[in-house]
Amino acid sequence: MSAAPQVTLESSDGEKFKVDKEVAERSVLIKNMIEDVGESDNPIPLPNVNASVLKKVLEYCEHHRGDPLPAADADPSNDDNRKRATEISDWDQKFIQVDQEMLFEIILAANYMDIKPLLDVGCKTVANMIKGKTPEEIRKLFNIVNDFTPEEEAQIKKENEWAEDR
Amino acid sequence: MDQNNAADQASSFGREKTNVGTVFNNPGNHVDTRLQPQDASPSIELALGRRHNAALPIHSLPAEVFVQVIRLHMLLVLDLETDGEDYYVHLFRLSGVCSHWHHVIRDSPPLWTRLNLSKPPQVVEIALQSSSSHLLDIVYHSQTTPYRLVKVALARFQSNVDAVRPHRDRWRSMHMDISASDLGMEDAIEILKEPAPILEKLSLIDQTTMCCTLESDLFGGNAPRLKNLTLDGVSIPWDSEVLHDLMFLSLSYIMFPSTDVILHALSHSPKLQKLHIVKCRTKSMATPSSPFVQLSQLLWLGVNLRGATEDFLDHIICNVKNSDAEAPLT
Repeated sequence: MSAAPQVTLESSDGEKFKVDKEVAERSVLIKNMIEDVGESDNPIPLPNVNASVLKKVLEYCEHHRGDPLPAADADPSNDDNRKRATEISDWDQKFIQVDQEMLFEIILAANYMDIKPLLDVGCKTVANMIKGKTPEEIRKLFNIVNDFTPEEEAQIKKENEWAEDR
Repeated sequence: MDQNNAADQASSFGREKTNVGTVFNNPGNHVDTRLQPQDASPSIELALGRRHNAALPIHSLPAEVFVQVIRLHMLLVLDLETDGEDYYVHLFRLSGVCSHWHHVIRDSPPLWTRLNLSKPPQVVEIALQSSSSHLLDIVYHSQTTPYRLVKVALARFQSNVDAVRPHRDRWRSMHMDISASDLGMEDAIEILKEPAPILEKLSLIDQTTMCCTLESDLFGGNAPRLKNLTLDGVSIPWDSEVLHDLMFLSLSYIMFPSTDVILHALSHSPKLQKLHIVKCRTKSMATPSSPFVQLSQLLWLGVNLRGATEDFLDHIICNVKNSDAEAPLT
């Protein structure tokens, strides 16, 4: 039995990762690059992803190597689709338990490498983080400074009152 | 102006400026010019704040990814509140985190396509502006209004109707529930009189009277893309063209003038996939000359027509069983 075909990926800081082609092709970017340039021993450069982030991304791709490819966007008004759109599997939840900096790096890498399911997991995680929080609590969570002018602040207060008016 | 006068004037300006925390190199001026927090120029503070915010990991996300986070958050929130009444409460709250969030949220039309006509006109106006040219989903959930506020509610509704009417070529769906309202359907129908060229989904609900009858044709009979229609306690002219080419039809709490009118209406929707007729009545049963309606694409059928279910079903030719056959009438 012949070994599974492999490809080499090179992170922005020069580290090389040899992985099964099937795993690497969870990334649409890499899949397209392989299709465009054909099989090659040359490493595929990923100038926007450093080694520590790429390692995490590949861990995700390895775990989900056999999963079906994501379908086109479903109608979120359907309850089942809505549930699916907001749920995160247990393994993914554990996988994404990282510090904020790494979380956003993973999201950026997933976006750049075009790995939609990983991008979804990252976005859902952030959406969950802000759920039920006031603006002040969100600022605290992400270390955001309130940078509105007094006039803007007054306008926002007014808009919030309008929205809450029943 | 001699040199001494000029120096005096600079010194004078310098003292004035220090009151708002600006540092001037003014020899001989010994006023403490260190910035105090309460004296700091708002513009400097804001600039520093914005620079700080720009460097945060969360703000490294591209706008489209950030918007996806907000959309998922809104889905999470809507899971908890099924009617989505507080959609804009949450959205406005999020846009009040910082100027970056405010700009990204305001500049994302897909977040603003839901127009709730029971909200203050200012909210509807902001949503209309922010939705740009995107398709709109119009909702009205009536609430019991204290008597002293009925006029306010009517004025608000009318103002919102006036605001959305010019955008009818963007109406994608409309859900009007006037069950608990002091508004009659005749108020609501004002926006149902003119053509809705791209409307795909319409729900009209009036469970208060359960015998609301609209005399004039919906959208002047002109809603060519309407595929999904729900009428709950609301009757319309049954020969209306809006009943043509439907794929989903749900009728409840309606008194039909005859079984024939429903059969005739259904005969214009041969591609119907889901038919739901529950807790309805008919004044006259089908006759030997009543039409037989072929619904070959029907996937789901639920009929409960008091005393006339079997009579009605005898005239429907399809491949599915009646799911509501055993359901008791209440």
